[in-house]
Amino acid sequence: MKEHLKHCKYTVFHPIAGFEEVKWNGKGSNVISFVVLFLFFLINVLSAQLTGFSFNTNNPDKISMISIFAVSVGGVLLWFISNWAVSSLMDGEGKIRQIWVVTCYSLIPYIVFTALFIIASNFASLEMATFLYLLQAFGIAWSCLMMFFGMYQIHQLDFKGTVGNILLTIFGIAVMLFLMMMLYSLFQQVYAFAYTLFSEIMFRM
Amino acid sequence: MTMKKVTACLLAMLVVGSTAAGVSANESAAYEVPYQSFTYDKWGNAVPAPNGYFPERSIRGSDLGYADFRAPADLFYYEEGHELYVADAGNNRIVVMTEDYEPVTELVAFDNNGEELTLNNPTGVFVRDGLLYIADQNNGRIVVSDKTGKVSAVYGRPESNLIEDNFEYKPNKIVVDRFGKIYVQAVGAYQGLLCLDSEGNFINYFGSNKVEMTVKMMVQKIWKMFMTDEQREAMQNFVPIEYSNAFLDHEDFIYATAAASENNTNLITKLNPLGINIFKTSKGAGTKSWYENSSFADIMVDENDLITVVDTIRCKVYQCDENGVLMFAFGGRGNQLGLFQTPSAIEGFDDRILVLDSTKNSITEFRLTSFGETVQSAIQLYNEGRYQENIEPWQEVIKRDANYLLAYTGIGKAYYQLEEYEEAMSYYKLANDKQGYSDAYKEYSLEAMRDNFGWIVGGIIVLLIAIVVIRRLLRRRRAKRGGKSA
Repeated sequence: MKEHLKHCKYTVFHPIAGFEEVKWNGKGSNVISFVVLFLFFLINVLSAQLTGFSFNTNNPDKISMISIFAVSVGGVLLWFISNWAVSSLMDGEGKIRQIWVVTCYSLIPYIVFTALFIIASNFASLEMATFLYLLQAFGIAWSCLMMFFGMYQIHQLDFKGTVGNILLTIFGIAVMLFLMMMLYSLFQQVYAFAYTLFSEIMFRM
Repeated sequence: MTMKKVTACLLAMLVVGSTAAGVSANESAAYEVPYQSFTYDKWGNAVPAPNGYFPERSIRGSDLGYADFRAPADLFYYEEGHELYVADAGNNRIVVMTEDYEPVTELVAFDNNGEELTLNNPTGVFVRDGLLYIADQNNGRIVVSDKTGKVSAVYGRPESNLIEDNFEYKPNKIVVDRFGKIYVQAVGAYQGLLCLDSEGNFINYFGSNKVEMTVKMMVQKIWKMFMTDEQREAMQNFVPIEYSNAFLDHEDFIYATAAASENNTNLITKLNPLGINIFKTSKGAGTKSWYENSSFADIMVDENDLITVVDTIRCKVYQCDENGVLMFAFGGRGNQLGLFQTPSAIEGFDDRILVLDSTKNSITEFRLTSFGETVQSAIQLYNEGRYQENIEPWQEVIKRDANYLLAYTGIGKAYYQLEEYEEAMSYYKLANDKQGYSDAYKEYSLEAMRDNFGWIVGGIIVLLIAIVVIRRLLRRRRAKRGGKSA
């Protein structure tokens, strides 16, 4: 475990070398990945709830854990599934476990910088907004870079291939969302049909 | 026995209850209105609110002993003379009455150096130094006369290269500043108000509205790229929206109103002497939606810079503070007292707001309620810089209407000025005023820093020493261990 933690820390600062180990030496822990995913969810909840008053645009009456869960964890899962599907169909040598580890490890900078943002936002006035948002943007950029290098390593693609892979993954997410919406509305109609049929029969009985 | 007691008790309660209900019904009847007043809560939802103004009575032409009004277009309150002037466009006359609605005179025929002069659709009237300035719309001229009907000047179509030849001059509303400069809002003059000198010569256009880039315009621009010249010709041109009315406030600023359109969201403009709009609405919840998609017929601004406008689309009267935060909204479409058909003008003085309706042909008088009085007195105290006294009326307002956003901001501002930043922060928080909260917090944290400077510096020094010591201890232990293992 200690080994894994050490590797995880190393990967955040040296994503290329770190993810290479994931690819070839079987490094990277599923447990840590799940913990990171949970922290990702947690930090999203906390940022909705605890961000300083001047920076928090949420109406506290309307914060919903379920919707935050759906967006954060659901989003990560969508990315993971879509990327796996894309790399199975097209180029890309990444195994499902490697994709999972890369996806989750890449969230770490975002989590850390969002936490910093939440803390700082409680002590800052609106004049410092630019710096705080810069901090947040920095975390996001770091995460994106990690994700990019991770995909680059585990799929063994060149630069162009990785960009293509990521674009296709995003397209895949869009397709999946579209299908989900369609299924949802279809089933809603089926349900409504069954329900009216049922109530009609009940009235005639 | 017990049964009797119970019934007696019940009866007594009934009697007491009904009398109490009777009293309260009478009291509430005094404030009963055929519409629902509202304000916005801190998330921008419209919520019911107590009435700030109450419709007291309506005044018709026949109440004054004259013929009834017909499509009256403008109402003006002349402060020095305590008189009201109605531009009765349909009857081609000007009706003058005292502020207590007693008839003074009715001007139908004017004496222009022995010649008789009559008006044709007078839609605007303004009075300065006892002289009436009448926008005689269909005759395309401005008539200056005194109260007896003796004309001192007539200004026709102004001559200038800036005025297009095919422009039909139809002066609609008129204001005159203290230097005698005449500002005319003319029908179709999208370039702004026509500014005339005291001799009636054209000086320039004043304070035109700008064309704002909107989504619809961008779409049209893209379309135009693929069109033939003829198609392009056929399309509408985007010109600035013309003003619908103008008002001169006590500091000689001109307020103007315009209808919302595809390329204009500036419904209220406050023009400085250079003709630049200096009216800025705050971004808070209180300005969110009352201001949008309206068509304001007239505007009135009082000594506290409280702005009152009347909207012809919803037939509502809105009063807001100088930042456009809604205070009161009242009125509506209908025939009952307090409702309007086609509101055309608004005037106000003391605790009164008068709305002229050109379909109902009457003036509706609104009076400030005790709630409205409390709100206005609080704003006035703040403007005068009496922050401490300001808090009490605001608390009173909150007691009556816990949703009243302006009260929380008001108390927050007052505490901020009194340098009680923690209190200010809590009230800004209740008003959801991020900027106010942030400003108060900045001062608060600065103060806290100053007060605890010794502690903070001391703490940092202690922390640094602790880190050095612990590091040393750890290193020593590691060295010991290293020695053992080696």
